[in-house]
Amino acid sequence: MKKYLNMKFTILVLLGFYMLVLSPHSQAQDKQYKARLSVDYQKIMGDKASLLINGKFKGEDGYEPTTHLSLNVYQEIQEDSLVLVGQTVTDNKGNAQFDLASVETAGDSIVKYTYVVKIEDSERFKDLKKSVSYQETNLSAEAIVQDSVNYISAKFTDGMGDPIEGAKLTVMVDRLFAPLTIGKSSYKTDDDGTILVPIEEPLPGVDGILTFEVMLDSRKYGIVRTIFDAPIGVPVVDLSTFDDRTMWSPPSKTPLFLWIFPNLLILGIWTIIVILISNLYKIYKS
Amino acid sequence: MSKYDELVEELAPRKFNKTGQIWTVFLIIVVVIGIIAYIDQIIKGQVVTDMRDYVLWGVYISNFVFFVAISFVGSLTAAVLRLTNKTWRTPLVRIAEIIAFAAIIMAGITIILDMGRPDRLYNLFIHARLQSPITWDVVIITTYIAISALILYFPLLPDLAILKKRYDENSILGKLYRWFAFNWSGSEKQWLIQKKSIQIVAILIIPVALILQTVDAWLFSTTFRIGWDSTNLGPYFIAGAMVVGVGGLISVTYILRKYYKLEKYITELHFDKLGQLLVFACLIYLYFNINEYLLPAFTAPKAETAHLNELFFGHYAYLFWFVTVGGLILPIIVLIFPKGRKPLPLFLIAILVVITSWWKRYLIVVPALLHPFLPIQGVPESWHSYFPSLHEWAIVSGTLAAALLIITILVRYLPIIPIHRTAEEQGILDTENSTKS
Repeated sequence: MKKYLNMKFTILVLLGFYMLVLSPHSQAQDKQYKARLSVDYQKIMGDKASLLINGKFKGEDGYEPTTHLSLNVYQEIQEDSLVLVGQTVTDNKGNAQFDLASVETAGDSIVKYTYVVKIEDSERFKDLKKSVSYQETNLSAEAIVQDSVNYISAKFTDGMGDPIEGAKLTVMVDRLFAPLTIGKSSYKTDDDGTILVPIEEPLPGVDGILTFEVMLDSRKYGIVRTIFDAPIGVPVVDLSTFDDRTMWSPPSKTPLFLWIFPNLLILGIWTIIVILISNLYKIYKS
Repeated sequence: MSKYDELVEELAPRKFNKTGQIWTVFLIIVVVIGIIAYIDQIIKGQVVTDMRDYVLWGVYISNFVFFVAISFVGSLTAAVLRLTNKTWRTPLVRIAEIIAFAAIIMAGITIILDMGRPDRLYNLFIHARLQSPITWDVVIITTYIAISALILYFPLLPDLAILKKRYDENSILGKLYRWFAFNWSGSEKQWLIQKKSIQIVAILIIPVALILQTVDAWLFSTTFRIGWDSTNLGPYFIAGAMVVGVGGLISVTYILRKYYKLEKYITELHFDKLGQLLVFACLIYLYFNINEYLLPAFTAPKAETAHLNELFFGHYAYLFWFVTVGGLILPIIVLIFPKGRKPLPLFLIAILVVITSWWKRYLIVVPALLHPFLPIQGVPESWHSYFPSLHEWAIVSGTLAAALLIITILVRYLPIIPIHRTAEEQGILDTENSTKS
């Protein structure tokens, strides 16, 4: 009877454990969420072009990143004709970057390129697709001097080299933690596709070299950036006392006066003490 | 019995009576309790103390500063009195030297007690930075211990030679006195070497004592902290050390005079002179106190004002005014009158001075640490206040008892009044039994 009761009790406990812990979990595993994707095209001049992808979904704790999610990337060749060009996986923040260097671009430079990113056959998320389109462009920039004033000159052209007017470019300079915007938040290109931004304040840089960045962020052309160095900064004077002999440096860099005088003092006093002790010995011997 | 023999009989160390024995046992018990508390602190770590991130120098360091201070005048007074050749100083110098020796030994030990990992003491030497006042402190304390021992020992040689004759050669004390007498026969050569050595060590100890106090002050003033960041702190510490040192000397002298019935040798004149010295020291220290507190009160930035308010009117006001009035103003008022410099009132004042001086060091160390450099949010309540834990009290009491125990042992086995010199001054030197000067 007792054995029977024990067995009954064990079964009840296991059942309760399954209902409380395992069952909701398995239900949660079965549930498919609807994800949201954002896809941007980014081109860094002289470097690479890529798709910047971010995914999130509305979970039980609000919006959460779609971590470790496999995404298929397609290129649209003709209308409704997709060619799989590769796969990418999101990281812990739901971000992924798909490098377009390996993708052969088809068509001429004024043709609109379209890529489609898809969630397909995911256990956690429902199928979803998101597309991004862009036109081939070029962005070039340099530092110039006019009337003893430094300027950043940038030119924005299409794939054929024709200037694009009215594009909003932002000029920034690299600082320690984040780029610093120079002048207004953006400048519109003129009919030559150029902007000219004065650098009114002297900017400090290591050896006087500053790293500038000119950026375009538009729906039509995607994110286009160009980064270049220019020796127009004020050289940073190294104020570090790391190699100096200071009061706060390690023992190997003790200031010389602190080596000489206290040690002379210590040596002098202890020499006298030794003489005094030797006097005791003399007393003992005499 | 000749006058000389009478003198030796009166000044030679004597066995303790019941009071002396009870006193010694009491001190040993307190020291043992302190050792047990310290062992527990080593096992459990400094969490057993009340020191936290704000007050990381607590009662141990204030006790250390007290020991350093009291060791000052012992040597300095002795040295100055020796060099100026004042005849009235004879019965006082050895007591002063004994106090100095005991105090500086305990100062060195107290530093180790404050260390969380005493087993890493050697790091102080192998990783020493000459820029650090802590390194200077280690060097100067070691030096001062050596010099204090020498200034105590050299003048003892003739007396030890006298004492060895009073004991059987095979007795333990006889052997010890013989060994420590270093073959002293009183030859001209020995006298010459001894006198020259005393002269040298008496000169040497003055700058070393001044450096010791100054370095002790620099431990604090080289930190950019409200209450410590003061150019005044070096002389302030020296003046304070003179006060507590003379106070300690008067207290011990009074008790020994009473216990050993030495009224014939330690007269009211000695107390009067010591009283004058104490009132002089108090006046100098009062001057530095005014500098230390009054000027910042006028020119103080916000943080300094908060610190001063805490001392003058806040949490530490009772202690601050007790220390200032009891340790400085009252002694000055009482001791400027000759009646105040009679042995008993002077002794009472001296005891008050020593007690207030101990608390003065507490006030120098602790309240300054309760004001952090930067405002920090979410600080645990226990960081905001400090009062020593039972472990700390037990350990500190142990160190104080240990210092008194060293003094007690030394006065038990050494003549507290130089026998040979007293005999010489009284013109009753026994040339046959004793030695020539």
